[in-house]
Amino acid sequence: MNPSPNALLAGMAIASAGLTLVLLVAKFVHRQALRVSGVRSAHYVASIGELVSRGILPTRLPSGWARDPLFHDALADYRLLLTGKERRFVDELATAAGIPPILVARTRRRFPKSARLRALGCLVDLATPAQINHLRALLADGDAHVRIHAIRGLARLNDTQSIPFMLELATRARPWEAARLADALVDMGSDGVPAIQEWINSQLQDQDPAEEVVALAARVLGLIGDPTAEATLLALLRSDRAAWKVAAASSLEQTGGTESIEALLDALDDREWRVRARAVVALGAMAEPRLGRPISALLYDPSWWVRQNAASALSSIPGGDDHLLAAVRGPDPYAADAALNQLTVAGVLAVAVDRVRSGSATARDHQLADVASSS
Amino acid sequence: MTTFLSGFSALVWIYFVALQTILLLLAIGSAVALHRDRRQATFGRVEDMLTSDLAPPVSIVVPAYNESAGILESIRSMSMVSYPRFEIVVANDGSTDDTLEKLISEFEMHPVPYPVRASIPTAQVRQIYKTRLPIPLTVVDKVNGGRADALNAAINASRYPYILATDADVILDGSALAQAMRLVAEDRKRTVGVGGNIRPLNGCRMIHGHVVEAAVPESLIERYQLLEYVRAFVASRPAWSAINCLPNLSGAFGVYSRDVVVEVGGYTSGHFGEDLDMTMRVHRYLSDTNSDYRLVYSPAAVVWTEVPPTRKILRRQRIRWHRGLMTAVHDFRSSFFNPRHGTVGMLAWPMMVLFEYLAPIIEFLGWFLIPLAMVTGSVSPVTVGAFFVMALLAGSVTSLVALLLDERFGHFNDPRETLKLLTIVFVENLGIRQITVWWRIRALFGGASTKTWGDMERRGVAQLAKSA
Repeated sequence: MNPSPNALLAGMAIASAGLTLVLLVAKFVHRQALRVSGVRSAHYVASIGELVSRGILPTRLPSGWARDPLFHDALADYRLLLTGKERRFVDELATAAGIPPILVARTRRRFPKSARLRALGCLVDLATPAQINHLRALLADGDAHVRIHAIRGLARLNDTQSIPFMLELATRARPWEAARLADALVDMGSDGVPAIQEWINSQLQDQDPAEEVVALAARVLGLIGDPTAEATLLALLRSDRAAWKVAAASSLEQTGGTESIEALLDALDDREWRVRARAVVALGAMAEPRLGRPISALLYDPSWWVRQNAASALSSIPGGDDHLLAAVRGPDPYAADAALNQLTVAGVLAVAVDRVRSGSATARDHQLADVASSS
Repeated sequence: MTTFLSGFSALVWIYFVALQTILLLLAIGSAVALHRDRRQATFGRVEDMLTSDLAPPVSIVVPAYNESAGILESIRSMSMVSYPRFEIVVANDGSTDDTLEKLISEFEMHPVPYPVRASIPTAQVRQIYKTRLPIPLTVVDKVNGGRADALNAAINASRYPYILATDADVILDGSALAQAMRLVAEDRKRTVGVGGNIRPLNGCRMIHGHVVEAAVPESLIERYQLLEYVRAFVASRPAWSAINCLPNLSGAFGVYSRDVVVEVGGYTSGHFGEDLDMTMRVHRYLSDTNSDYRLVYSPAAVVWTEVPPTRKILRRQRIRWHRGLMTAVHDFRSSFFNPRHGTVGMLAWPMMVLFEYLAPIIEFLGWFLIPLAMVTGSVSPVTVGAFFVMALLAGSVTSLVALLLDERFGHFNDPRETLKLLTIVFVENLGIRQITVWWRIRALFGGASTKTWGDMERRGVAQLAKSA
């Protein structure tokens, strides 16, 4: 320990004092900045509220408002809060103030990334059809966040023509981006279904299809819930790829009609357990009494998840509880376990016990109460 | 003797310079990582996760032993987390107070014969309870087996592919889960774990189970811990995360892939540092199997936790933590400078051993040997004095840099709060830190009394924070 300590000491003391000063200044600046931006934001929010309630567009906005990011944020927030006529008024206000072109200019590459993304965040909510081409061009941007914003903007503008490009983009995207893209497609609703179907059909013909993205697109069709997608989903369910079958079975739960039932019943015999597990859930959602028997057969499936899903599906089918009761009393302990769990979780056993206690029980209630007491 | 004392003094000097250099490098790395994360968190539209049907579902697993004081507030805050698909699984670890009764009565729990996959062996499960309320809550009542055993029981009863291991005395920030899962969703194939940013709850203002205003606690002991947490979670972990060598995902908030946790055999029962043990075992397992993986840290996933409000409770906690580290140092000795374990083996773990585990020994020896060296004339009193002042100043520089980085979160802007923080920056090295060194020495060489968990004696989050 023989260094010349004086210089080091002095350096440390200066660093310590300097940092203390910087911290004090930073705290002060932070406090003031929060106060100033808070006051400005509150002013914008109050002014926009006043304009919306009166429904009169101003001839011109006060100087600097149209270029202020805080004003853009306030407008975008208002737009999300409002609906109908009032939302249209906010759109008109933004267009009249020339805000979308200002935002477009700020999304150019010469701006810092944070400024670009902030402008894009507002553009997503305030864009008009005039900005569609700009948003399409941004799909090729190198930054994933920029692409996601562009996708959201295009979805809000219902630009169905860009769907094939979006799905192609998903084939190269990371899961996060692909999931956000799928969310945007769901937001487009039924308008986007034909383009998605067309893309899936082209992939079905492809020798080397984008397996994961096709499955994602199938999930999107299910989440949109448009019955016209049924044919495409059935084609996927009858394909030889497990991921497609699982996604199609999930989606048919929302969109499937009578024709789907037969295909889903066939899927109950699939050798892949994930397909059986999803198909049984979809069939449960159909709530047809005749499905009780084929579904109850899956209470004896080797897979735990399939048995649980079969028990849960039976709960939603009229008469399904009888199948569950039979399984509880049957010889297979695994089926009995799944059925007993479902009867308990669904509250069937508790209701039966209550009825027995109150003296209003049926014969079936007594059987269920026996099961409850013996478990 | 003189040679030995001179040598030891030189060793202390080298150790001190190395430690300060590493802390400074970590702070610089953290500044870069925080800047990057801020951009992602702000513009990555984490709110998209909240409405997405494609968000990965999460099971929040909560071990609870005698948590009667704060369990209800904590579970309420968890049930209000903004995330599309999650469930809460509380494992009542044989509590001797009314933790279970409170849960049953408040959340209308009823016993169910729920089949549990015993993927990880645990102490006997007595009963599973489900709620009649519209919240996804399950309670596993089990025989006492320790925190790790309770976590394992909750994991067995969980259904989802990701688990969030947390404590029964924490308040999750509304977006904490979404912020953490954003990192999973960004790279689902590689991300097997995400740690959160733990902050002391003591003194903060709460409304309806949410922290609405952070505050600097009144007592010096609590303020000291606040500073420690800022240094660890703001000026250190972001840098470790950036180079994929986080040595520890805190027990108060650690998201893991359920499959990976089951594959490594779950949490180690009876371990005093089960969070550190789990993180290191995940690293070791995935490195040994040549997996391409990442364990990351999310500064935006903020979790508020009760820190010990008294010296007595803090002493127990620190002794327990250091004993946990001691066990881990022994268990993972094969990772020490092991290139097979990547940056963790070559960087993070050696740093942990040299500057966390050995630090109290070096400092404790220094208390006696450096004055002895001065008395025997091995080093001059001026040099010793200068070193002492330099150590104080270096400590304050590290803390000030951490507080500057913490400006990102915008807390403590009131001038009085700033003054309280500055006080502890300059006061902590004049006694408080030395006491913690003594506790850690006791952990290393102490008797049977240091080898038990002891009760935390919680006041409960509602009492610790200023509820409005």
